[in-house]
Amino acid sequence: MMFNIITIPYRILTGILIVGLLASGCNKNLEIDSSHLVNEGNNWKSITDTRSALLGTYGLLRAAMADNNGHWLYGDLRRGDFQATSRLDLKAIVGNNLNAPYPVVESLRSWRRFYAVINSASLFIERAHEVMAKDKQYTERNYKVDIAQMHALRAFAYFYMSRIWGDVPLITSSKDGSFENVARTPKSVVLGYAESELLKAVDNLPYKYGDVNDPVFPGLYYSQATANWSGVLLTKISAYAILAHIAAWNERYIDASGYASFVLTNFDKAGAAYTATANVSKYDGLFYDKKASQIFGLAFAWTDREASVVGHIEDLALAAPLVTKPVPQIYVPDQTILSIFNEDKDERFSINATTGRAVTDYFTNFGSSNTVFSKIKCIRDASSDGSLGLFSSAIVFTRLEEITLLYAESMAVIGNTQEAIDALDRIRIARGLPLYQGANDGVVDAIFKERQRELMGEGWRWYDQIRYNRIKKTNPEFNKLISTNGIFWPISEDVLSRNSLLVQNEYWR
Amino acid sequence: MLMKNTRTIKHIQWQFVISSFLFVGIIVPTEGYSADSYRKASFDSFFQDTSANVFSKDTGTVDSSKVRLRRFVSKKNVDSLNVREISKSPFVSLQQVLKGNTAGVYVQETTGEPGNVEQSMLIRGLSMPLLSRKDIYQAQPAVYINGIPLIQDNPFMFDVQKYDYTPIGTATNLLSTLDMDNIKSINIVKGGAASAIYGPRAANGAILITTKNAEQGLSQISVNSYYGMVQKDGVTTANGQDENDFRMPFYQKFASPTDLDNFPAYLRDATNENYYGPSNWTDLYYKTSPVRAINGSITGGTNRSNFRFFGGNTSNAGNADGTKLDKYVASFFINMLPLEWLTVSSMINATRLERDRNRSFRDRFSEMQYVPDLTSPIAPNKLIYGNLLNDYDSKSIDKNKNNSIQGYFSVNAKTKNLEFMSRVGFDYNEGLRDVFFPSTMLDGNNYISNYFGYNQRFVFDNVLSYKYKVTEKHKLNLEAGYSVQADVNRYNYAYGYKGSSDYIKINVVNGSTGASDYLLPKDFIVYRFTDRQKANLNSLYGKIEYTYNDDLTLTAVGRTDGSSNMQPSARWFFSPIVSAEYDLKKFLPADKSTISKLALTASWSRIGNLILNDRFAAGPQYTVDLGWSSNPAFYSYGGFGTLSRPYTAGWVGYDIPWAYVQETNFGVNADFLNNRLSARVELYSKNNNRMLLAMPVNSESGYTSAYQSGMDVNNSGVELMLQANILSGGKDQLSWSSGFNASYNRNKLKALPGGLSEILIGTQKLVVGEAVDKFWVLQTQGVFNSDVDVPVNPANYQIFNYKGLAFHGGDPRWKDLNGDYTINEQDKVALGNYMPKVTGNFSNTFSYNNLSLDFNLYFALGRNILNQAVANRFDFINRRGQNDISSIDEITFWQKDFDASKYPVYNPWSAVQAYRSDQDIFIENGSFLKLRSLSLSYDFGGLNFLNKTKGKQNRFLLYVTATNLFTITPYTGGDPEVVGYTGIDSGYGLSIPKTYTLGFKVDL
Repeated sequence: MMFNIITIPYRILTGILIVGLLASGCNKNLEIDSSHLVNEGNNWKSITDTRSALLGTYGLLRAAMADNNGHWLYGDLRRGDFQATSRLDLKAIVGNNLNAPYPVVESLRSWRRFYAVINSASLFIERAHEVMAKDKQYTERNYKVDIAQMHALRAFAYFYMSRIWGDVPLITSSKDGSFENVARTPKSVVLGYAESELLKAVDNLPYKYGDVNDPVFPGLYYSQATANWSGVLLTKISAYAILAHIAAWNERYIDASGYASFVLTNFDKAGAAYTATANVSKYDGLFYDKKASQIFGLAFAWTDREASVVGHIEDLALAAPLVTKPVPQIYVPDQTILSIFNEDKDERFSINATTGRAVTDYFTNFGSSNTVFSKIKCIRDASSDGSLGLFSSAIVFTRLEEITLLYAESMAVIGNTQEAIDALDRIRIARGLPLYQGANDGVVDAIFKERQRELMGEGWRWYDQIRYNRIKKTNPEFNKLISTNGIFWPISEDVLSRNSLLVQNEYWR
Repeated sequence: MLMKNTRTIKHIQWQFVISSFLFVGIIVPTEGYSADSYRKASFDSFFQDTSANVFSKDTGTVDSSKVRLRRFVSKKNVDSLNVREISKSPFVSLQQVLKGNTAGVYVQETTGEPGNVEQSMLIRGLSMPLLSRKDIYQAQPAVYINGIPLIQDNPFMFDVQKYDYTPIGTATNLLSTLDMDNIKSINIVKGGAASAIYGPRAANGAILITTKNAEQGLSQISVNSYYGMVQKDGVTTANGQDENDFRMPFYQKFASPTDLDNFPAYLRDATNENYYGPSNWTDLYYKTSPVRAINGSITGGTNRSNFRFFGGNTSNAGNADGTKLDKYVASFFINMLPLEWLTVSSMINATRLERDRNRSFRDRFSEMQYVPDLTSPIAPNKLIYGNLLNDYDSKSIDKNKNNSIQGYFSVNAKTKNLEFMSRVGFDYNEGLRDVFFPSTMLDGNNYISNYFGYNQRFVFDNVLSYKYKVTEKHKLNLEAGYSVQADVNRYNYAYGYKGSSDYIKINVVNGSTGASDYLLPKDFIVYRFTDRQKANLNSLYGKIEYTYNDDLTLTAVGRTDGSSNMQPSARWFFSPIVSAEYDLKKFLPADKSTISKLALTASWSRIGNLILNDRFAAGPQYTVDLGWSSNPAFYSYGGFGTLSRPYTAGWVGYDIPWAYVQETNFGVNADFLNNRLSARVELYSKNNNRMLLAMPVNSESGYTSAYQSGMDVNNSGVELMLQANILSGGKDQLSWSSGFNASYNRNKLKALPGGLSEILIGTQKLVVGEAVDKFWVLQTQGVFNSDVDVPVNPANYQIFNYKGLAFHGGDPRWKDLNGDYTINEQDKVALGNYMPKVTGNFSNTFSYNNLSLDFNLYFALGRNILNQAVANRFDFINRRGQNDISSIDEITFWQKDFDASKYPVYNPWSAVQAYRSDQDIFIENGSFLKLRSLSLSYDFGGLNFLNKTKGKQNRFLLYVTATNLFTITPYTGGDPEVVGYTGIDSGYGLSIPKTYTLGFKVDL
């Protein structure tokens, strides 16, 4: 009995020992690197990691602006020239019912995607130096250019958000993994920060990426030449264009004119150029693919297989006969077209006096019950076959014509009327119009009218109305909107519920 | 030497095959079933686990001089299914087999489409809120075939999908690979004590399937077959006139002149034959279709070596939309006893599934990730619909194939008390889907997609057990096990648009490796996706079982499990499990006529819960996150791949501990009246603790959420099983046995991460103390007849509003719970629950000699359905305006399936979205009772014309079965059994059809 009691556990022990031996060798098979992700230990090691993170931040910005076609819903729809056909959510935005509970409107009220850009840029700024230490290919100059872009991109995101919501929380570090709540920062501070960040960045931003002759960063950029980067990355010119807009938004038109004039004097160094009317609306025109003339744009290049359905004005505005969709989601009513394009020989749109017919590069089927805004129509590889609505136009934030008109606006506001008219005429002539003949006190109106015509469908109309009314102060209704901060969007209920320090914009309370 | 051995084995094997074929005609089986033994078998199997037969629960080698397969199944604390009865019904998936047939298992089918992947099994309630499409995968039990844990699809493919209605790939249910005629038993593992030796894989319970296996004896042949049909549904169709009549009141009451101008063109012209003509699409949509199955097996061999072969084909069909499933199964088993103490056994089980899917627009467009113009729905006319079907039939490719193979090789060595088992097992399944839709079906674009995906699992198990009899009274049973499991899930997927011709239906690429366009598509605009995930699990356990005097058993199991999906700091989890069982037989009176048995069981367990996703093991991470809501899979910017933090998927930090299930279980087994009435009651309280939850974080971080562990959900309930031998008639007497099971379950959220008491995730509210399966809805209190009816907050003169948007005449008057004059998520109440409170089944067998009649009633009570299908009908203005996937009107749109007069009339143009589905008017009682099966059978085996020598031991069972004959339900929508996992009836579930089959089962 005693013998048994001792021996049996011994045998079992041996058994367990064998099994245990088997087990001890097998912790190693539990170390599996996921193919879905890169963990902290494997990132920030080589030059490809900085490229991935850098372009990832741009990609996040593109996603933020493309989601639900937000860039146009924010910029072109709200009290704009466009009307919605049947989508009730778009009608709500056009009618300024921005607290309507439609999913798309709810999503537009959230700034989450822009903060992802900001977080990603901050993280890059904090971590990229680690790569310099580990990878000799990652030079300090490359590092500086990258950091400058991230500063500029973060500043742009703040500017873009502040235009929409006014006061937004200013967060300048990634706070990686901690989720402290931050209250809203006054818009003046946010915009001031954005401007100072851009000013810090401009010196390190090249005119052209991947160009041997660039004074800031000569030679290939991430082993790629200019063709790959034009219209893709933020250049010195882009940064000055954004600076000009921040200043103008702050009604500091002297600064705005200075920044704008830098763009107007140096654009050729970036390879940008003015675009002829025909080239604006061609299938493979200005908006197609990635181009230096898209002074700051976010590309959906067909050549990079980045075309998509949503993220383009085409998705909203195109319809038959250009694509199969019979009715567009948004359109400009014929009456509005006629009132905006009210000058003869306008290449964009005018009525031929002799035939009485519309001559236009901007619209298709004018006068039918189904006028289609077809200024931008980049279908796949610049095809005219619209049966598959994959679009490859870039989201162009600004281009030379836009900056020229902003310069004209600045000059007009600071009283340099002749300079303003000259700048205005540069655009008028390019579009087939005669020189500006109107009165000097009408020049601001003329400039904004020109912007309305030239930049239709590029996400400017709403912000132009705000700047116009800030200058003019003649529309009591709009004055009230400005004074009560009604020009800003309500903040999404979801965003508010996640951060107790946030308060709703008073206008929408 | 080794070589020689193998050859000998092969030789023996072939000899058996040949000899068995030769002797088919004259061999007499040694075992068969008479009607009596048959009834007994079903009775026993129902209560298999209640027997306190302590040492024989392992069906391992009983007598080492004969080959018996060790089934690796501990039968204690598990429920068994009456497989023989169920095999008379033409069920194709494991879920259908389990449904209602065992207490504590709730099966949700979402469509009657045979072989569709969307079927879930939940054992003992809902262990977590179903917040995303992937969550249901996380809650599924493990399924074992002869001890091999089957690998299932990993839900990672949803990451690249814009629409998540169905997963890419074949979307075929991998658990429809089983053939019921090949199955000997199905046991349900629930409760920690039973799960102990299965570990984390069985944290959600487990289902143990034991196939019929090789047996000794002279060759025994079985042939089973049935033929039958599924019956088409009767549907009242509608046409443009009906739709016009439905919409007109809204237009007359609320439409502005522009709204009237926008009256849908297809309804405007009453002379339009397509829409206003005959609505006869049902002739092509609903069809009575054949179902059939045939299979056979041959078993035989000596007591030192035997084999079994099974082969079968099953064809099942839905009654709508041309849905169909074909299944081919082949299994082969060999057992050998090369030495007196050594058993070698092996299995190969192969299945092929071919599935014809539904042809709904929604599923097609969501697969294409492209929604064309939807201004006019398809016309209800047979000609128009016929043209579409013709495109499907003659110009399209829609092929779905799944191949699956499982097998094992095991060695079992046994001496008197010591037994060692070692087994290598694998499960591999692959899905292949090829699709081509011609340009005539999508705005002049054709579409192609090809999918190949596989799941592969490799298991290596070792178990050592030792039986030790200390004295007659004290017995010990010791067991230690070690197992390694390696999983791989992988898929390659490509889809493309705009091929140059509808005759080129394959995506041609240049295959020469040197070429500059190597593997680039020549014709289509192609998008490619590939994904792979590996996961390993190592386990080690020890078990001690002590028996005193054959009436008290105490068991303790300790196990430790390591998963590659856990972080290195918390890779291993230790689980303790204890259980006790006490048979009170010595306290019972000797007279068994009142109470004949009484036993008590109790157990407590804590078992780790596996995570399916591999992204948590890495901690903070970088991933591709460039997508936006309509393009989730965008991955490059400027032509280069990118990396960023997982802003959309959510932050993952360090120190994520194992989630675990802690369960306490009490049970009473009692037999009465000389065992004629058996009852079993189980009480349980199951806590799923420390679960991960994507917690909302401030949007200023850029993240949608951050994963935090600490969500606890409790499920508690009672299960009752009764089995009564009401009339135990002998020869020429009627016998009647009756079985009833019912389970009551309720769940409750016990804790949220960070000690929060409630959170709102999207529109789903989670409140500690409330159930996780609640519908959160607005309460309706009538309608505002005009603008002046809308109240104004006297405090600040703010008009009563919906999230800031003032109400107008024609809007619903929703109840303002907090009295702030604003209706928002705070004003929603928890109303109804989508998990049934009580489910169960009532089955009866009447037999008279060889004739028997069975019927089976299935019920689910205390459960609600959100009738989104009706909400969508009323929300026609909004849906039409969107032109997105939710605005599709299928051909089934043209039927009268709801009573509009029962719903209030609101302004459908209103920006408050008056007919939003999250309001109480669309919540309905979804309880139901179904006659699930009815069958009449006669066993000719008792007559000895078949085999004059030993006729009695044959079986020749002829039967007719009807399934799903009637449903009693207060639900006004479609089939209450087929709704989504979260209780939402989208109207897309095809109903489960009535089937009628005639079959036979012959054992020779």
